[in-house]
Amino acid sequence: MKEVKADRGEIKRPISDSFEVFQAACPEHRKAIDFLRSWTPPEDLEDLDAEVLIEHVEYSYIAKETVPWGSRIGEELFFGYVLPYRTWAEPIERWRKLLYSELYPLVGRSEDPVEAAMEENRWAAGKAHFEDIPVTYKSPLRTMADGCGDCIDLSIFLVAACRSVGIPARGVFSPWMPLGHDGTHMWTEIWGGKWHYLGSCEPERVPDRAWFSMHIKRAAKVYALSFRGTGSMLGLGYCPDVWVEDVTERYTTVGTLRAKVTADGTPVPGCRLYVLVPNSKNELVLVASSETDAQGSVEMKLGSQVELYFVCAGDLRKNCGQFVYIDTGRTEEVHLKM
Amino acid sequence: MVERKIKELLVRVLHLDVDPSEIGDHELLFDGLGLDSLAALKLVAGIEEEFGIRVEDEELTVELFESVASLSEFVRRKLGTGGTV
Repeated sequence: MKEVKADRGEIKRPISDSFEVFQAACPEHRKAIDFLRSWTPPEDLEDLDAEVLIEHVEYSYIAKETVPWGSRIGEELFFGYVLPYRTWAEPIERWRKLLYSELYPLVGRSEDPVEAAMEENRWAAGKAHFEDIPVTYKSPLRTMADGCGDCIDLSIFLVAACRSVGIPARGVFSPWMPLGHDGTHMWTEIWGGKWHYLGSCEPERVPDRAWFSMHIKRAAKVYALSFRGTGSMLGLGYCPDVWVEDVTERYTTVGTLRAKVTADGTPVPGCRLYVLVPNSKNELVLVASSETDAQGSVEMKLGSQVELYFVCAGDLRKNCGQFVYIDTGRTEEVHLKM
Repeated sequence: MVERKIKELLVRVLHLDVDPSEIGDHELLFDGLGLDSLAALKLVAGIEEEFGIRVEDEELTVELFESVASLSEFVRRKLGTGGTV
């Protein structure tokens, strides 16, 4: 992961004239609006429609106040995983009121948010199914209109459906899964006392069960996507960057990689370190990257069920690095010379 | 027997045109019989229903689905019988 200082001040913009309408909001809603604007990427801020934002805030609170579990969701979870209008890089749209109107009658009387999310997943499966299409990061309503999407689209859709009725939800991404899948995958996590995973639009009878249950126990890295800054960004280059929380340890056993990068015997700070795994075609797939600290070092957790990792520093194209084995609960030290 | 019931489930889930008794106890399910992730989930659902047990997320491993023998051992352990069922 790319280490980034989570400083709201870096991306916060002054309130533009178009946001005058915010002044009419109650203090609670204003705090929520401020939170959303604070973590909206600068490039999206100018296009952020005030009416769209206000609808997201109003209906987030309507959901919180009308579902039985709403009062049990603390502010941290509510702000982080209910309020956000976006999961990854999809267009910003007005999905919340529509989805709330459709889903509250379906799950609004359930006492258990996990049961409610599973019911929503059944509903979502009836609205959209998986298709192996080019990655475009579709909005929830686009996926619903198309009736199909890839795993990213379906996860964005299910996360929105859950958030619309006040269930904390987030997308989870793995850059590579073994056992024949041999590629990226994304699914949904929902909060019901703890995080549970669901195959997006792929309902099962119980939570924490999906066709990829076996695959993720051998994953290299698993990232939970976050709207709010976490201090770490995905940093994989081949997909849009986003704040992430490393949740690898919740899915598989892990070991620690400790890498030191030097040039002519001197530590190299600020050097990018890349971690890759060989896929079934023996091509190297990037699963993590991070920058060396002031001492030229990086430390990260990696899935220990992966047979082999390739670690390199500085320039991914040169592939100058070495293969390493990561054992469960142990630390593997690597010294890379540039 | 647990083995026989699991073989019947395999035939049903994988739509195999064989008699269940023709499946070997140690035949590899993924590489040999053509079991895939989706079919494995259906098999789990069938096993849960057939034997009245619950398979937990942490128990869903590749090793579990290696063969009829590994699945049978797992079922017996869950049932607490240890021996034959």
